[in-house]
Amino acid sequence: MGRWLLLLGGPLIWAAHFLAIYFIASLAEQLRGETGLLARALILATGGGAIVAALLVLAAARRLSTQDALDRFWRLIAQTGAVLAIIAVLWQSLPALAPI
Amino acid sequence: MKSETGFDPAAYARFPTKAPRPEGELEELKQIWCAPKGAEYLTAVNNNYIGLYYLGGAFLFFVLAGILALLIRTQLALPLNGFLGEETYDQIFTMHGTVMMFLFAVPAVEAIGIALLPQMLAARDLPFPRLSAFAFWAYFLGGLAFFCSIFFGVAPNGGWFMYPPLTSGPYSPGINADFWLLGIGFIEISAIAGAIEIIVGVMKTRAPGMSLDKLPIFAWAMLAFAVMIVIGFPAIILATLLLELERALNWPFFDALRGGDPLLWQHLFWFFGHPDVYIIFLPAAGLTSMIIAGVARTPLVGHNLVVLAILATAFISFGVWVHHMFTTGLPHVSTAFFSAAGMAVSVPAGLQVFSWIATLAAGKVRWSVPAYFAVGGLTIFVMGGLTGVMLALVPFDWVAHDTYFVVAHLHYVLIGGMVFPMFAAIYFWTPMFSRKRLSERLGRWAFWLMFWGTHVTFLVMHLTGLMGMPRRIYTYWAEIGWTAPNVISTIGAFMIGAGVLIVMIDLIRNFRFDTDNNAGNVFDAGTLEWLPTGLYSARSIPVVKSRYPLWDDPQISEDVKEGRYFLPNSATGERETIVTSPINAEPQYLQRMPGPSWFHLGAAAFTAAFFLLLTVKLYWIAFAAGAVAIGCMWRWAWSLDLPLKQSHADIGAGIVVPTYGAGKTSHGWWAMCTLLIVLGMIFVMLIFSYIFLWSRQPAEWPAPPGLMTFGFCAALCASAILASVRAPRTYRARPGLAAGLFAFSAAAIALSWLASLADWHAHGLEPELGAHDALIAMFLSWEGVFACVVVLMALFALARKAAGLLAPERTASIESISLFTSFAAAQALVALIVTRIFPLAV
Repeated sequence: MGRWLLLLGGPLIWAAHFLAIYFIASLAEQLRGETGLLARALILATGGGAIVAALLVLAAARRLSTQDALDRFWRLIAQTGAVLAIIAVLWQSLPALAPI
Repeated sequence: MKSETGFDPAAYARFPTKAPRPEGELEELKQIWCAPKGAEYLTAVNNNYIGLYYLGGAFLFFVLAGILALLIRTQLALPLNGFLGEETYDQIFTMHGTVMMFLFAVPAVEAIGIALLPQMLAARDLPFPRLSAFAFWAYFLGGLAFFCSIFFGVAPNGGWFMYPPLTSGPYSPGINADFWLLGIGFIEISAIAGAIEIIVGVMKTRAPGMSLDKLPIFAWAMLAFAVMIVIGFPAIILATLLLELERALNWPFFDALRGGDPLLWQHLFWFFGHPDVYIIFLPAAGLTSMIIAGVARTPLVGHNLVVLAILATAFISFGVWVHHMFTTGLPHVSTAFFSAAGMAVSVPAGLQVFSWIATLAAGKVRWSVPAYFAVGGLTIFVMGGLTGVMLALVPFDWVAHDTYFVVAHLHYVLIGGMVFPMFAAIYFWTPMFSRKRLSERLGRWAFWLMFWGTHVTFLVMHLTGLMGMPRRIYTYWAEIGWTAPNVISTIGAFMIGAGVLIVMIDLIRNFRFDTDNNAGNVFDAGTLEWLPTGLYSARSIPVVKSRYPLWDDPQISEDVKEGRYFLPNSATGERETIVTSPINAEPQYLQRMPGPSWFHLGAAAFTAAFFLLLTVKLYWIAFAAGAVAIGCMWRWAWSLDLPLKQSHADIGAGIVVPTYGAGKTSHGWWAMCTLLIVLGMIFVMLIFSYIFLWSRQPAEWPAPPGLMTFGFCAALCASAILASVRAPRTYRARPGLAAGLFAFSAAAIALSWLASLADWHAHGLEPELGAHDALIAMFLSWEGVFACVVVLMALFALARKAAGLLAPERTASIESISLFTSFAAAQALVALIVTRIFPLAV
């Protein structure tokens, strides 16, 4: 299971982050009628958390063996996926910086 | 390589074997996997037949929906044209979209998967051949009946995405919408059955040594496709259920006057609908990757990154559903998140495109018809992708929404992303199934007609949209100035039609089904499906050491044909395949495979009949058909997990494996887990619907009944979980006790459901009055269905005990029943918490 989590870690972090920020924005709209400063701060904090998680995946992936082709494949997918997740999370968080 | 199962990979060095194979071994294999005769063609389960039936069915619906498209274009060619009436036009454009999306696109890629995957993985067949056959027959019989509704003027007429309130009872009082809602039901069942087959097939029946890094790109794409169906289709299953219940029983899920919300439909529909585009695109992209590597005669450039792109697309596509709802007034920040995801999803798609271009540049391309279609499709898809990025920009979408610009965009994406790769695949892989390859000359005519026809039709259609022509109108005034672009689009549509007609002529002239004497590897491709095959797939199952074994080991075809690898015979005298571990593909056990049967055919026919009879409101006959379908499934299940003739078998070179697998090793366990994910996703969507409608009017959400019954029902559910989890553990020592534990679990779940039902009834539940009560009734109905199924399963276990078919050494059936029963109890517990605790907590 751990191996699979590492392989899919990047996309999973992106998905969790996406759901979380959608939930925060929807909740803010429900409670306050707008995505105000607090909600936006929470969205950015969630993005920060997601990036830290992706960095952890990256670090764990770097420790994977490179002994055979399957190991190298696993490591490459896990690492590149984590890097892509970091870029995607940053991109996905940008709307929170837009003027209110 | 570190072993995943304890299997010693050094044993692979024993292959290819040197000793001559015994006389008569190949004849026995041929006899066991023999071709059907006469009526046996109906009961056949072999993937070569089912794959081709499926593909033929999908192609038929493609042609039928294409004819509808030509009728649409004829009507729109001239202003105030009287070729089609308004109502007929509504039915025709609805059926065109519905048939293309549900009866052609998804089944076609599933069909290609069923036809190609066993050979590509060098398995004898996919692990559940009867399930594939069931999926095909349910789809084909139901699909034909569904399509015929157009000849009686009762075809769906609310657009392929069937938005309420237009499709709710008051505005669509006939049975047209019901045909869509129930007609799509059996197609969903069929798609999910196929997805389960593909997931377990790719994960568990690969050739030994085919670790995930060596898995062909098409198999990766089909794996992502199947997982996406498992995650995405539940949303549309729930949506169709809710809308049909609203129409049939007046439960107001989408009626804003009674606490419902039409936007709920849009959320559920597009949570399925947008990933569906990628569900269709990813396998086609997988085909393109294989074809381009084949025609360029060089490995796919960036293979690993393409795998990552497939995974990333599968994930990100689920974050794009609001892409279709930008004009519904959602909060701007939320909309911006989806806009960002809509743009982000183009990155992995672009990565695949660059990989194809680089592969074409790196290799020596032979410009055959598959190459034309693959490159032509790539070009068209890129153009569609670019307008997709434009539509992901919210302000542009506000302008272009519901205009012909969107129609042009989606046709560019789907024709380039799916239709052209499918034609490339037909031309590329026909030599695998046919004595003759298809004609290069006719193929090139077809390609150029379809390629230019697509641009003539749809390039100008962008302009039509920007000139303001809305979708779904059946005519227009000449003074508006839309005539010229519409005439051009109509000419283009007939060019595409002419191209498809030429392909049909080519198929009629040249396709002759034959696996033993097929045209062979005419493109010199490097993957396993090009090994010499028969109906049993490859004669012997090779050890896979690279991604392109035929290029890296020129001797492999001969060795496979001579039986020098795994399973050169039938080790047990039955149909069988090797089940391997999910990561390293190490041999685990020999799976005995079911042969032809009438039961899956009966189950499929009566399942389709159940849904279609419900549509025309023949309820009692429908329920009788449903009961017969359940009877067929019971008999089908009864024939599985029967006593073994031998417990172990030599699968080649002295490697001995069990002939039975249980627990997490078993293919049945994987299938049941996948099914439970489907059911769990439907339930998650139901919870989402509950919270969504609550959020529309939290102050008016009624209080639930008291907590007394909650405690009683929760205790029953918890005890059912404990008993059903315990059952497999006691099974080896006392099979009878295990059956008894299931009976207890089923009784506890049923009792909990009845108590809950009585409690809500006493509380004054009136599903017609408001969305809250309708949702509660939906939760109770859903749990009721599960209660019935677990009771049936417990009866099945008891009947097997009475028939002496429960044996301690065979645990797979009991483990499956345990998984399902535990899930049903856990789900009932969560439903209790959501419906009774959530309203008190918020």
